[in-house]
Amino acid sequence: MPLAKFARITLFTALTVFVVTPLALLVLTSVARGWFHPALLPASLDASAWTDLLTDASHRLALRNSLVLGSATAIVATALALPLGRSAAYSTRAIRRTVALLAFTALALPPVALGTGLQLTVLSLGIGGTLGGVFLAHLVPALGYLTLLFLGVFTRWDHRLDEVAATLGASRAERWQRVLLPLLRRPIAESLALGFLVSWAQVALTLLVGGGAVRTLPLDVLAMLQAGQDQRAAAGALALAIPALLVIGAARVGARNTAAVVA
Amino acid sequence: MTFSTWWHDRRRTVTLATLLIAAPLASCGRPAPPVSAAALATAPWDSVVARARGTTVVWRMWRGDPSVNTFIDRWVAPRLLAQYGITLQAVNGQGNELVDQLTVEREAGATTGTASLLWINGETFAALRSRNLLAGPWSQVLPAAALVDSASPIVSRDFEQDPAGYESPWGTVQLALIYDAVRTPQPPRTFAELAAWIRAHPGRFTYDQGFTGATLLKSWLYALNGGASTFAGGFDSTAYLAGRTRLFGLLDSLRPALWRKGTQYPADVAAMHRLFANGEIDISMSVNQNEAVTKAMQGVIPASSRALILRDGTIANTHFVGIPFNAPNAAGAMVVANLLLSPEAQLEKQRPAVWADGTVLRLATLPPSWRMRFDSVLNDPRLVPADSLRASARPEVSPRYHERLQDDWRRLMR
Amino acid sequence: MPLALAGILLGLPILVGVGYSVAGALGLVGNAAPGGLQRVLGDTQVLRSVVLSLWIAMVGTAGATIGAVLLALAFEGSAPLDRFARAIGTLPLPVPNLAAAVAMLLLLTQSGWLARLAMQVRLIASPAQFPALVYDPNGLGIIAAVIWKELPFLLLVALSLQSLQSLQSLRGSALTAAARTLGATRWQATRRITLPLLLRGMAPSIVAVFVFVLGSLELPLVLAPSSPLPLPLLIQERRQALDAASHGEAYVLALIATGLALIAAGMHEWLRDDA
Repeated sequence: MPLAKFARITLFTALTVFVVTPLALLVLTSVARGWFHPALLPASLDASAWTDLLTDASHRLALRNSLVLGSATAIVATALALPLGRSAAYSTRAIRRTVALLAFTALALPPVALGTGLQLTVLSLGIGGTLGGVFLAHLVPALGYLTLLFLGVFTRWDHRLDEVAATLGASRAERWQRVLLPLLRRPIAESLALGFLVSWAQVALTLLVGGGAVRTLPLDVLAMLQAGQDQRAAAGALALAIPALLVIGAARVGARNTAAVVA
Repeated sequence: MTFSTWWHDRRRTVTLATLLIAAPLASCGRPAPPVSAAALATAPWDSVVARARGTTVVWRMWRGDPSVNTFIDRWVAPRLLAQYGITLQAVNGQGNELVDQLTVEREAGATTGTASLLWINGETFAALRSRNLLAGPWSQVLPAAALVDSASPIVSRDFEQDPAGYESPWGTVQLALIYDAVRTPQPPRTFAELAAWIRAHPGRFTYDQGFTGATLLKSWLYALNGGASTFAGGFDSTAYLAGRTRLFGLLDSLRPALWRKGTQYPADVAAMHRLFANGEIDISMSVNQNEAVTKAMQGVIPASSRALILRDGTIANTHFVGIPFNAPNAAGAMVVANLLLSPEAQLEKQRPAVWADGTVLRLATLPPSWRMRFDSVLNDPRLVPADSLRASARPEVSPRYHERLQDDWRRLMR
Repeated sequence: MPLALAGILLGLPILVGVGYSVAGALGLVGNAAPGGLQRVLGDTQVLRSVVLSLWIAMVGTAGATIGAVLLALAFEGSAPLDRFARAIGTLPLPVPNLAAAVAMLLLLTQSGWLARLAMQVRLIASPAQFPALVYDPNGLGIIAAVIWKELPFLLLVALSLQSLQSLQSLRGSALTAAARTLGATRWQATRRITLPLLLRGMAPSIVAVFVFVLGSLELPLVLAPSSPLPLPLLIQERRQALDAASHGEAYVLALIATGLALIAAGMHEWLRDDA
């Protein structure tokens, strides 16, 4: 076998092991009771961590909060970032750069730092420790990510399709419905997925702005870890990871069904 | 029509709509502040119970232990609903989160908050009291308060502070070491033996940076400096510095024999249990002496784990519930606090299968049937015997010691 | 117009968040005492925390970049092996940081799964003999988690850059083809043309990964050493103390972390190629 092919196969194997091992370990730990060193494999398996996760009332509340926050963040941030990215992209270079800088700052600010400041804000507004306050906090990095996404989309946008449709007499609504939205289907799908993920995975902002009172799935996983319940924490971590994988997968599938190609 | 004119039109409509909706709302006056706990304390108990019926109580508490959560959610909450018509909502919150929120609420003039009951003790109680964030006095009027063991220095004082009716006790625990009977058949029984054991078993002992580790250090501080009485009676800077020098001197000398040569310390007690269960260290610890049993039942540590109270004595402390100054439902909170003090609740939470949390009641004053039931639970061979607990319990001292010790440890020893 | 919108949606929350941190640092709001700045600047622990956080972000980002570039170049084609490699390489992308941290905790501690494997094959005889990868002063476990989580993202960026380049000619960039014609070997063409172009295109994303890792709380929360304490954890610790002095310090530290992020934001914008 030539060296190049051997090297590629080795690299591929190493990559697969690297990616899969941590996930496989999570799966195994989530069903292993009392699995301690030096046992390489668990002595007994049980699904109690999973049944507990899905039936316990407080876990379900946390899951529900995570889903609500994620969906709300995805939808609202997309709805706000799309017009923002679009109008910025069609403006002068200076405005584009300023908006990009602001957007990047919003997502680059360490959540602990942002959360520390926002915590005082929401407390002063009287929404400290509420789902609404946490939602507003999640919006900040989400808006940052999605504004950059739409800024990129509209910077590379081909105006000609829209202009041709206008020249041919299509009304504004028709242009949106028949030309712009189908072309935007892929970016919108990506935007919804990304916005959802930003909120879904949040720990620091939820912890700080929610004051511990608002429970989400990542906070529950953290709590289980800090209670020494590794089996449940592993199940929770997978419960965190699997929907995220599904959401991205769905976005990719949805993106494939675009009607036109944007050059 | 360009995008910007479209946006301007929309903006105008939205602004108008918001103003139209907001105007009538803004003109409503602020609701009257709720009845305070202190006022309710002067009313007959029956009226308090009647006032609480059909209401909701939000209790901000530590939700980090599944056995505690189960006790609250599956035992306390249903009984509150059935016996008093009160809906209990247990919400996460402790220490600084509570102080932060209440401080800002007080500054903002919020006369009605969200939480009516708080799980507090020690430092948190001191912080809340000093900022006038607690309602009271109220705990002395609870019917079950008569059953409380107020003669015990552990129960009647919270880190040496007098609750003075601003908080009501509900459980007590004592620091214990946890060892594996299989791995360590001869564990150390005193602090001196512990130091010798550490030197003889390098890398097999450590303590955590959280509350548990701090409690161990305080207990060790007592043992090295003539007992808790040296530090009793408020914060004494001279006594503290002398005691600290001795303690840190010893810890420094032990450092090379600690886990990771004393350069790293576990962040919390769960990380320590993990090290213990997986054989990286041979001794763990907990502020609850019975955690050796409950954690083994949860599968966190091996079934052969046992608790050990050091003969020099370890710190025992009590946890309390308090009512914030702007509690929306002080009556409900008082009823909850009373239920927590009932013999039924105290017995239930003492069970090893539930929480194994100590009782604050004076068992001698209970009717014989209750005494028997308590005895049968307390004599469970899996729990640390009650008399050995009593003999070795040492009280907490001023919270300033705890603060200073933690601060100085982080600055000098970490 | 977009500036106004951006100002409200993005600028306002940032300003408010940062503003309240400033107010807290000055002791004006919340439960904080002023004078935190002097205390923080004089504290060597703070310096060590900042250095550790920067170190972890640098090494983690570098590792993820090297891995991503390697994989992008090695698996560029359309063979099944290439497509599988690209799919697997980007798999961890949506996995939340906390989940990755839990997995690394179970895998890399001295009594974790890798250590148990080492014990089974008689490489070591006790947990203490396994290298300290978690709770270690170099943050190795955190770096491993960073690479696991960020390599997929950078790989995606590299791949999309490559497909952009390959759209400009049939296979590979026109520049590379020209270089090959002039006698350069494949490796030379890669090293002098493809690699710099790729890295140049990835530069803003690399900065983004760097600043994201710098400010992340989840990974250190699970895997970090106690000494030095990464900056986000130090901020948390100071915030959770009940005394006003520590709170004030927490706000100052938050502003320092914010400052580092702003510098990175400036760099990101400077590196961005815009249309």
